[in-house]
Amino acid sequence: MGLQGRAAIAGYVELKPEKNPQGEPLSGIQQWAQLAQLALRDAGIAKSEVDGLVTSAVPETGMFAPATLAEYLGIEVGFAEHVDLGGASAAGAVWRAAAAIELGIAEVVVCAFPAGPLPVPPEPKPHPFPFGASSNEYGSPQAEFDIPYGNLAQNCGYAQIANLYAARYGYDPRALAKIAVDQRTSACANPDALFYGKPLTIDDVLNSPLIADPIHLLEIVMPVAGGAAVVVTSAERAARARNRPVLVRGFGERLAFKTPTYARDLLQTPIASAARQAFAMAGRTPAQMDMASIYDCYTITVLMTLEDAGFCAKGEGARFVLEHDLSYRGDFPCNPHGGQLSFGQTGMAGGMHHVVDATRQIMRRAGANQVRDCNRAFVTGNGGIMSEQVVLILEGAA
Amino acid sequence: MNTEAQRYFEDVEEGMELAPVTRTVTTTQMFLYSAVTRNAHRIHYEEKFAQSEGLPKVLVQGPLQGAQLSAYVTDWMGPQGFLRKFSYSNRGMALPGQPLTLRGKVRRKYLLDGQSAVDLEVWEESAEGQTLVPAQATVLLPSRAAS
Amino acid sequence: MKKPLPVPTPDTRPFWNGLNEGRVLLRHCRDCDCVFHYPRTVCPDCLSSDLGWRQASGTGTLYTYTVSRRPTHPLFADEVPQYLAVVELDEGPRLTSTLVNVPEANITIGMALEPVFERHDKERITLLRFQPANPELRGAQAATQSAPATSLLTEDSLASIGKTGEAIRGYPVSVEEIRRFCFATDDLNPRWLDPAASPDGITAPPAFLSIPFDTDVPLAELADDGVPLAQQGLVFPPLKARRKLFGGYQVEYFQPIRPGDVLTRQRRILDVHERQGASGSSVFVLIEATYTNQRGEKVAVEVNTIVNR
Repeated sequence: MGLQGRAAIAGYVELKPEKNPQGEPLSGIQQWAQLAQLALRDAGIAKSEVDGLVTSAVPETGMFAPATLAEYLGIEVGFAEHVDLGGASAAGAVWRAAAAIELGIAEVVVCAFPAGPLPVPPEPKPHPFPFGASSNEYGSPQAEFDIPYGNLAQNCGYAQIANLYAARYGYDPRALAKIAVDQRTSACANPDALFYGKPLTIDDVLNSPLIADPIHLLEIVMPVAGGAAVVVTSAERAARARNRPVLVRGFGERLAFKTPTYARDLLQTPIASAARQAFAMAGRTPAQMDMASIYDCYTITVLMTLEDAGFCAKGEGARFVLEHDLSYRGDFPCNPHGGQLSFGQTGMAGGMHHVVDATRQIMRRAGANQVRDCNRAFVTGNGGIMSEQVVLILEGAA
Repeated sequence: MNTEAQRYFEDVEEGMELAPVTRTVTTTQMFLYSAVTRNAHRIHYEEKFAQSEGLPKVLVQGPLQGAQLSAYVTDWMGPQGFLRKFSYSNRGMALPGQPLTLRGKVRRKYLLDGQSAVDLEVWEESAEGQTLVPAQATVLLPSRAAS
Repeated sequence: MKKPLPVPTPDTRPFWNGLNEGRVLLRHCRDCDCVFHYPRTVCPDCLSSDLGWRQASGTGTLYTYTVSRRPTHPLFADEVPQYLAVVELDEGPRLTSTLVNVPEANITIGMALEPVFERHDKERITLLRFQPANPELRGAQAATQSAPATSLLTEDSLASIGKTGEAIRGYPVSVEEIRRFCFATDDLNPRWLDPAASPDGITAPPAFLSIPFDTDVPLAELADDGVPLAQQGLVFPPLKARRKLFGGYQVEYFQPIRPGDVLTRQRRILDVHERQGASGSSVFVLIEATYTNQRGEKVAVEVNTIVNR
């Protein structure tokens, strides 16, 4: 069952994250085109070869986003997907592209996730999502049962997970803080990272303000502008492209709820079954991974992922973190470019950070942050409040 | 809208509706209004500050909405009318760029201290029909009988 | 924007009606005999539509929670710290809620909870919040929340009624300032702008009344928010409230205002009264201002209502 490893990532682009982007803002469509252009150029693949695209929501075109993009780029595609999985969308896009390629319905698929500021229209309209990830539309369960209680915004959901974890398994705040600290060590070697040149200690994290108990300010990503894209193609085409092909060997995707209140067991995250499927498909085990790139919107997300993906036993995450060096030069490289916590969270492109993170390492293009002998990577995408999970197993071509 | 002929007491009937007018306050207009009222409150021009005060963005000045409703009434009553009483309250906030519709209804016509008076209920509502600024006005209108 | 309250749909209305009556109703599936929340038109266990309602005990345990130190949305700033809870009812289903009447230190996962029905009479909606089932865990807060909130009035608040402020003279009314006001309010009525429009020449629009008293203030005398630190001629009662909200405005006009007029304004504390509501105490302060012109004629009397919380 599943992928045979006959599709590969052949090129990528990741824009430098910016807190206060300068210059004229581009529309979502324009940003998409720019990312596609840069990623194709990186792969050394011509636009005329593109026959598939995967996107998430495009702000200017609430409906018909794929067709609008195809028209704008002047391409005709046999495979077009709109993925709506929040932070898991990018990883979700990559396996869909790989599946389409293995099915033989597409040869070159661009997956782009713009996250730059948008131009302000001459007549500004009210924000389309006044309550962020919670819908306040009439008839929405969130509007009726969550929002009136102030149960919205991501912080509180993750904090509820962390508190439940603490009650069941115990909680070592220093271990959670160390996740952010190790990633900062990696960011300090990466000039593109938002927090480059700003080292961090465990005490710094624990002394930062509590935002939603037990989560501190420095355990939460900072949203910034950016954008990222990859080109997925057949292994044969990738072999004739510019970079070392990064094969998509396995994937898993699971989702079952939107609001954590309705999770069957909030501590058995959907990562567990997604990772099981991905490893089985790839014929690999957690121990065989050379690196991990784990969606890290919060430190607790990383801890839960390490456990549920099988890198350590349930309840042993804190010990695992304390016993390993998670930086790029450590014995368990995790988010070797700083992760979103230290690289910056580039909105919907944040999920693509992890795909690019692993791709860059496997292509051996990570410069100072290069993990030695890196051939296999475990990658996650995480949407909502640990409610939508995608796992990818990526592997460099021999 | 200001060129309407004089409205006479005899022309007015209780229950009559005022023609609705839709206006959109822009940040430019808010700037001019803050300037004329010497109002430097950052809540009206600095988005980040407004958000730190718990608002989604800069807030239209409440008295500007009152002034718009007042003008809606003075436009309606015509050049010889006199606005005698006016009251309003800001029930919901208005944001720049949001279409605001002014509506009204004649509540009562009667003699007030020997003068022909009309009570109006006017209000400003959002595009969703939510009343943002309810207001009441009493205007004195000329009478055909007197002229 | 107002703080959002639920808008029931036809299939959820019985749940909300139940809360209005102090009852927690759960959907019951007659096919697989499960109970579930939130109400749906199909059973999430077996997809059956053969559904009824069951009254739940309303009691449950705390599944998990967080204390949010920053508002989860600006509209919830008044609830910080927010005790955001997931409650597992004794019957099994979980719901999203908040904890009330409990000191932070007493919150523990697994603690027994009982419902608190928070009525919003005007909207005919009741929110379901929870407090510790054990009264000893409710702490001192419970007393202040269930009993009327503490008063925001001080001993001198009511004594200040009738107190008048200094009479202040506004700057002379000019054609230019009227025009500036009209353009800013987009009121292009020729009565206010065109000297030829009326035999008496230009008059000011009624809402212009207070403009001559909006005086310029040196930068150093503005607070961080841009509001003047002190206002000339203002009188206000001493209160323990922290926030002032504009509550309403009424005015009676007696004379038109014309270019060249010099108005004088005198303020007076007309009334101070306190009301207790679901969200605590509010003090309504009514400030009256009388405007006269240079001929001593009364031009207008206005009353501003300021709500203090």
